[in-house]
Amino acid sequence: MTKTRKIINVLWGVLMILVAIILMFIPEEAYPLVIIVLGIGLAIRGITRLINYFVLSSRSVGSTRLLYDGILILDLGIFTSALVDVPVFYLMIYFAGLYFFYGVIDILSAMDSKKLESPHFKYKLLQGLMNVLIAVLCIVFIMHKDIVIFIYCGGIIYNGIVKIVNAFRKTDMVFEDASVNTVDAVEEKQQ
Amino acid sequence: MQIDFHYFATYAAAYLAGYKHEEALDIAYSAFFVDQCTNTFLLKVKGPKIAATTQLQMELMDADTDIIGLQNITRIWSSFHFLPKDLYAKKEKGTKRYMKKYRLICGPNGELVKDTIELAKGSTLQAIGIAMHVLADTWAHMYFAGTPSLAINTVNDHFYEIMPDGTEEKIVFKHNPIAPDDVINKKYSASIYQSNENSIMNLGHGQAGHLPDFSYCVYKYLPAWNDYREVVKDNPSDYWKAFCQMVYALKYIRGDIDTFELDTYAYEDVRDYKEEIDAIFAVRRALDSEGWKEFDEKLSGKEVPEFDIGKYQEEYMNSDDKDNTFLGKFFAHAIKHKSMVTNRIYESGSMLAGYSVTPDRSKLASLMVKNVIKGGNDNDKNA
Repeated sequence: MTKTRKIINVLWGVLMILVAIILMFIPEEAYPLVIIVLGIGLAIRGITRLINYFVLSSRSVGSTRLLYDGILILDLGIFTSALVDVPVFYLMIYFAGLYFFYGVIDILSAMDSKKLESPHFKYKLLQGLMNVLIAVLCIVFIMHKDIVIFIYCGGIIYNGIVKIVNAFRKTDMVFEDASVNTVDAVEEKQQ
Repeated sequence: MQIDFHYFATYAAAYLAGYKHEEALDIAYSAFFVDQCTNTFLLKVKGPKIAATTQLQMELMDADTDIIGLQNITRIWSSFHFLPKDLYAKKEKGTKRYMKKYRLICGPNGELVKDTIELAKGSTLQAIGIAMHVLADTWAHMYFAGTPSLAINTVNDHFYEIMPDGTEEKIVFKHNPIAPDDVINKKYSASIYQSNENSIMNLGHGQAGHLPDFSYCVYKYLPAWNDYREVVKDNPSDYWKAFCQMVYALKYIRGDIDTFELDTYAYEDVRDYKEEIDAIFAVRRALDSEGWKEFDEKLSGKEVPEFDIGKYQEEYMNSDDKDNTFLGKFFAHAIKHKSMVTNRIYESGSMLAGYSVTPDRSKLASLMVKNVIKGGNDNDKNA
């Protein structure tokens, strides 16, 4: 990662955290904003699909499906952003599904790590259980707007922190014919 | 390929090339260990993370698909399982971005295979094992790339198995990642379609399931990159060539042959065993370990033990001289091989596998790294 990219990532991460904290304090005003942002996110995803279709896949097998996917997701994004009010019920279902999915992945990953007797499975298991718990909370508080904002902003804060941490991750530089000791030394330092 | 070929068949190839039983076992162990050396395993034994030669399914699901994450995935999979055939391949129509991915398509008898074998020559048995794994996989995994890419690795529903009597049966993949394939009833599973270009579901041959790894299977399909032209993948024939090329490569590494030429096979050395090996490939089953083990033990007259992932762990973890342990030597060559492949990809103008420092700059870079580490250590001492 270049220096410029690292700086941008850190600034972006800090901005995400600040915005999320502000939104948590104004849930009523934040709710329509969340809908618009989700809609824009979907629209961007759709546009990315379409760009990939034209730049990479237009002559590839299965490309038509990519084109349709891109158009559909873009439409869904524009439609979502244009809605005056989306019932909180739908948003909670979406979050519940998302967190449950990632929670299950984390738990399965922890089980894999445990099978290989890795000591890090506990952290992964905890992460998975937390995600599943959040999914359950989404269902329990399914009609509460405030909880939606809290969960959404929590996700933004988490992603902001990950962005900042990743900016400080050492870029892997791989040496040809380097002495093993050098590479070992780098790894030792990283550990 | 799976344990049957990477472990048992590699043992047979090493033995036929002239290696002793114990040497052949070490080569075979290392060859299959490439499929076991995950980040999770390295964390457990406190080995260098950079030595990872594969990733668990769950590690992949967890992996970041930002630029750094994608480069890490590409480095591992392109280096050890989907060695690119031609990093300078040309295509009539293709954007710059497309061509970088196109050039990572795996195939046998590319220049990188030669580089892989040369790198292992004069090195340890572990290095030879790694080279054999990489060589074998260029046959099984051809037509797919070791980078997440919908544009290169996706397939569609035009997928047919060609039966021994010549008839064709359409394959409809299920998407159950847990249930094993039922090869007798032709029930195969594959990764679910994902329209995100960089999704890990689009890594390697995920969209074709395990078919490239079944030695009995002959099938035809439309690769994403081939402009709607069909390819026929004849695994029994390809696996036979892989085996014969392994014997040839091993003879070269041993010093019995002066130069290693691409597209050259030790048919003469294996001729007497062709019928037996063809019989192993012909059986319709997910794994041929039983057949190969029987063949190995008949060949050498000695027992070939089952693969044990824990065999060398204690030695590595308790040693004061880790570099000279079995796993230490494996990690050293894994890093060296990964460096070599990454450098070739980088030199071809692609950043898909990340940066690489060339030999003339590596001395300066390693001096800088040592100074940084020394500075860090001094800070720790003073703190």
